[in-house]
Amino acid sequence: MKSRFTLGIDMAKDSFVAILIDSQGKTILPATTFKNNSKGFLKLIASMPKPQDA
Amino acid sequence: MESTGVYGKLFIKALSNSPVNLFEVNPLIIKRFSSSMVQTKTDQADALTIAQAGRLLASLQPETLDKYRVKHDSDRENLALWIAEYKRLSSANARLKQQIQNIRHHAAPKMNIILGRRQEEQQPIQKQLKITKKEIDALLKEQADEDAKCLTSITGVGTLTAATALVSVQNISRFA
Repeated sequence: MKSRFTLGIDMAKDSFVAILIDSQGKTILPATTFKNNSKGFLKLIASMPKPQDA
Repeated sequence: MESTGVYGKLFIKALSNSPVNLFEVNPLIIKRFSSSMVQTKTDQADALTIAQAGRLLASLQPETLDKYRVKHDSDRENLALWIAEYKRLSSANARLKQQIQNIRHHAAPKMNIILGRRQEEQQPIQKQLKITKKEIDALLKEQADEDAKCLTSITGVGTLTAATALVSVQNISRFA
């Protein structure tokens, strides 16, 4: 079965906090702060677990 | 994501071509679906609350979650920016208009000099207002979606009302 992940994002003017959980509510990526700009978006994408890790 | 006004716009744009589903949910709904009993308000705790609420919504009420789906729409973003510009110019114009009316009540002999200055100040603003209104009219015609067509077809709903409703409400089906 295809697993579903939920990324919770608390967005603010300069930065945002992202946390990734799985369908059971287990934390996959702990709450991390990123800059609210293209560099921050790329860092977020880079920190996402690859399909085989998840 | 929780609705935050303009702060999430660049993020939505950045992810517009990715396969992820993006939802910008009303904070009230997030609170309702929050499973956490902890009332701590930190950015980290908030992100977890948002994630948990999103997870619950996706499994229990996917149709509710779907109403909060967001995607980058450059036409709509343009319209939103021009509407904001129109509002800024419009309030500057209204303020000057009020000041001009007040100045006319002054008994000072040199009242006319100040009056002239304010009128000169008002002219470029009124010119910009006209240009902005034309831009909004043109942009509204370019909005190809059903919401735009439906709103503009209603008698008595002018360009500005329709455009403001479109950019403020975003997804009208949320109220269906």
